[in-house]
Amino acid sequence: MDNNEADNSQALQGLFELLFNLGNLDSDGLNDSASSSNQGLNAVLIESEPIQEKNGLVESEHFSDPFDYVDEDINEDDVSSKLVTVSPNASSLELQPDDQNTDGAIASLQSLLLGSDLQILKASVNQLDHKIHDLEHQIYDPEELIQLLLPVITEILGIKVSQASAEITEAIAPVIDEMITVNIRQDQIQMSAALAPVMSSAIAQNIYTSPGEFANVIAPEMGTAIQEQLRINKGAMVDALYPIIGNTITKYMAEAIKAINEKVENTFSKEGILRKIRARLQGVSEAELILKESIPITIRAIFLIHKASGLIISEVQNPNSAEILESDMVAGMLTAIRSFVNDCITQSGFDAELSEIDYGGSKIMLEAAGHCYLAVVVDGVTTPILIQTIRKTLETIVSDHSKDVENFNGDLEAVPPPIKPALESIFIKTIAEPKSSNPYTLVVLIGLIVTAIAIPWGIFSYRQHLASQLQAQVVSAIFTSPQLSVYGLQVQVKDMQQVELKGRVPNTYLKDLASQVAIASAPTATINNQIIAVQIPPDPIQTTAEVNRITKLLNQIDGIKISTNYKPNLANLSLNKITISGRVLNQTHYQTISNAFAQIPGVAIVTNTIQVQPPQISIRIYFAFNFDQISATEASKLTQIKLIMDQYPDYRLKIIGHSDRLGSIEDNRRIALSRAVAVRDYLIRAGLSPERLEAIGSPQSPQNIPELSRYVGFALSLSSN
Amino acid sequence: MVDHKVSKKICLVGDFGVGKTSLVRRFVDRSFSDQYLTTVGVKISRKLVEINPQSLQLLIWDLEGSSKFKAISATHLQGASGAIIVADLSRAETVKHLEDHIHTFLTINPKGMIIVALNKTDLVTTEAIAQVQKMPELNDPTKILGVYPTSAKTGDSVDQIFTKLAIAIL
Repeated sequence: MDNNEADNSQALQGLFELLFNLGNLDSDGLNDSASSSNQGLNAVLIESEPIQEKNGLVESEHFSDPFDYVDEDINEDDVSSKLVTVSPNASSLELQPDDQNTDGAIASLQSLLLGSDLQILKASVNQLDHKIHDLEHQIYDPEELIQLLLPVITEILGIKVSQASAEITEAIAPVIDEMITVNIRQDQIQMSAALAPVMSSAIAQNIYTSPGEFANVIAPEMGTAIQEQLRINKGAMVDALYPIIGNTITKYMAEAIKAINEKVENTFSKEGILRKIRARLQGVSEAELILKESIPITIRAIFLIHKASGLIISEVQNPNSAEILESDMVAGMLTAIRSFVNDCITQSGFDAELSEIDYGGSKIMLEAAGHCYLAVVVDGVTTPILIQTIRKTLETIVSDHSKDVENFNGDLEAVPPPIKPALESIFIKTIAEPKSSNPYTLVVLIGLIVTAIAIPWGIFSYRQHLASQLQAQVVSAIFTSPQLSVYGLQVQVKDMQQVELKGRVPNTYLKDLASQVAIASAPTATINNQIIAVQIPPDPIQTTAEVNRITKLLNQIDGIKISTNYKPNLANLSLNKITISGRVLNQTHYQTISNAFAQIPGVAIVTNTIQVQPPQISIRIYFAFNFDQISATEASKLTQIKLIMDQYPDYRLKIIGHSDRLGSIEDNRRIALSRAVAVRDYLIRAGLSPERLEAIGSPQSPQNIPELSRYVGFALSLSSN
Repeated sequence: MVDHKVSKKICLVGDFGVGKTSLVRRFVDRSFSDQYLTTVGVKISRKLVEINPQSLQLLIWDLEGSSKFKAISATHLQGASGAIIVADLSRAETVKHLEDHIHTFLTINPKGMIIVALNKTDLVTTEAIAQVQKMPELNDPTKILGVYPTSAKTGDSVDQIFTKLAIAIL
C-alpha cells in the first residue's frame, strides 16, 4: 500500500497545483471563463490519471470506479488546509467564508483599502466562489469528473507518453501482468480477442529467437492434441497424414504387388504350376500363397528363456536386423507377460499358454515346453513349417537337456553347447526354406528330381570312372615307353572301349609303335590312332653321306655296279630325289637297291635307272666235223651250265648251235640246230626245265677256222613270260 | 551382445508405496523422484554388478506392491535367486507385513537369499530405526542376510543392499 500512499500524495499535490493555478488565474483576471479553468484543472488532473490506473490494478473495485478512491482519500478538510496555505499568496481574497476571524479582518481591510472598489471585488469573489464550488463539485463528483475528463483523456495520455514514455513504462511495468490477469478474469473473451492478432507472430518470433523452446513446451501435449484432433475431426487428420502414410503404404504395396505380378506372370512356368499344386494340396487359395511368397518371413531373433526366472538361456539374433534386441529385458518382460496372462486371464484349472503376441506386421511366437520356452520374433507371415520347426527344435532341446534347462541358474557357461546350434538351425532352415509351405509335396518333388538326376548321373559317372581308369592305363604305358614319352601324346577314351591317340611323331614307325603300346596296355580296347607322322627335315649332309655309304656298300655285292646322284632340295623336302644308275645282274638286286635308298631319311623319290644285265656265259661245247654228239670231255662243261642255270633261276638259256663253213649252208644250218638240240636234251636230262631252254641254230658260221666254228654257245636272257 | 557370463533374477517385494521402485531407480539410474507412481504388474531393470573378478548381471523385478486387496504375484517370484523385502519405516503396518513377504518368497524359492530394507530413514528418528532393527522376526540369520535402514532419497545403504545380495547369490 506504500504505492497507494505515494499516489495519494501525488494526487493531493496535483490538486494543490490546480488551486495554485486557479489563484494565479484569479489574479490575472477573475472573469476568465469557466471553460478555461476547466482546461487547467484537466491538465493537472491528468498527472494523477496513471496513478489511478495503477490503483485499479491493485484493487479491482478501484479500477472499476477509480474516482471512488479520490472520493475517499481526498477529504474536504485536507483540501481546506491546503487552501489555507494558499491564502497568503492571495491575501485579498476571502476564500473561506466559514472562518469568522478572517471575515473580520477582510471587512476592516475592505473599508480601509478598497472603498468603492470593494463592491466590484466582492462580486468578483462571489463569482469566483461559485466557480470554485462548481469546480469542487466537478472534482468531487465522479460522474462530473468523468464527464470532464472524457473528451481529452486520450489526448492527455498521448501527450504524456510522447513526452516521457520511459516514465510511463516504469510506472506501469510492475503491475502490467496483474492488469492482464485481472482483465482476463473479468473478460476473457475480450482479452483473447485483443491478444489474438499477435499470437501467431509472437510464437513465430519466439521460434526465431529461441529455436526449440516452443517445441519443448508443446511437445508433451502433442499426443493429446492429435488424439483430440482425431476425436473432433478424424477426416481432417487422415487427409493431413495421407501424403506421408499413403506414400509409405504405397511404396510397400508397390513392391508387394510387383512381386505378385511377377508371380502371376509365372503362372504357367514351372514355379506357377507347382504353386497351383501346392495350393490344392494345402487347401488354400493360390492368391494366399502368392501373398505369402511376396511378403517374405524374416526371423529377427530367437530366445530360449527359462520359464520361471525369465533369464535368457540362449539366443540367436538376425545380424541383418536394424536393431539388436535387448534380450535380457525382452525375456524378462515376456516372462512377466506370460505370468500375467496365466494369473489373470487363464481360467483356473484350465492350462493354457500365451502362444503369440502380434504387433503390426511382426509377431512374437511363444512355444513353451518343460522348464523353458522359445520366443521367436518374426517379421512377416508365419508359415506352418516354421511353427513346426520351432516345435521340433524345442522338443529336441527339452528332451536332450531337460535337467540342464531346469537347473539353469543364469550361468551362460553352464548352458549345454548344442542348444545354440539348435536355435541357429531354425534360422538356417527358415532362410533356406523355399517359399513353399507344404513339406510333403516338396519332399516328393525334390525326391523325383533327385532320382531323375541321380540315376543317369550315377551311370554316367561309373562309365566316366571306367573310362578314366582305361585312359590312365594307356597314358602311363605310352609315357613309360622311352621312344614315345617325349612326344606328349594325348589319350582319350571314347565310347568306353575306343582309345583315341592323338599327337605328332616324326615318323610312322613311332606312330605304329604308339598303337602297339596302347594295345598292349589295354588289350580289350580298340585303338583309333590319329597320330600324325610329321616329316622332320633331315640333315642334307648326313643324307648325302648316307647315300654315298649305301652306294659303296651295294657296289661291294657281286653283280651290282651302280652309281647314285643325290641332290637335296631344301625348299621342298618331298622333292629330294636320288637317281640310281648302273647295272645289276640280278632282278632281285634291282629291288633291293631301290629299297635301300628309299629308306634313307631325306630321300623322297628314288629314280632307279639300273639295268639288269645277265651274266655272260663263255662256255662253248665243241663238236667234231659234221657231228652232233657231245663228247664226254665237253659234257663236263654242261655241268657248269647246269650250275649257272641253277644260280640264276630267272633266266632262260638260249642254246645256240654253230657250224663251220664247210659243206652246204643247208647242211650247216641243220647240223648247227641239231647240235643245239643235243645240248638242250642233255641239259633237260641233267634236270633243267625244258621251258627255260631254247635251242636254235645259227645260220652263219662265226669264223673261218673250222674247228673253232663247230660249237654250241649259250646266252642268258630274262624270262620273257 | 553384452559380455557377461552370469545373470540372476532378484525381486523387490513389499507393500505398496514402501519405495521399491525408488530403491531400484536409485540403484540403477542414480536418481530419485518424490513423485509417487504405482508400479503396475512388474517393471524389470537390469544392472551389471562388478564383483571382482567376476561381473554379475542383475535382472531386477520390481513387483507391484501388495495391498490388502491384492497379494504379491507368486509367478513373478518364481526363479528368483534373491529378494529385497522392503518396508516403509514411517508406516508401521508395512514393517509388520515384512514377515509375510519373507515367508511368501521363501515358500516359492526355498534357497533364495533375502535382504530386508527398512526404507525412508530420512523420515524417522534413529531410535525408531533401532527399535525396528531389533525385532526378533527380522533377526533370523537362516532366512535373512541382513536388515538395512535405507533411504532411496539420500541413497543411504542402497548400493550396499544390492551388492550384498549380488555377492550372496553369485
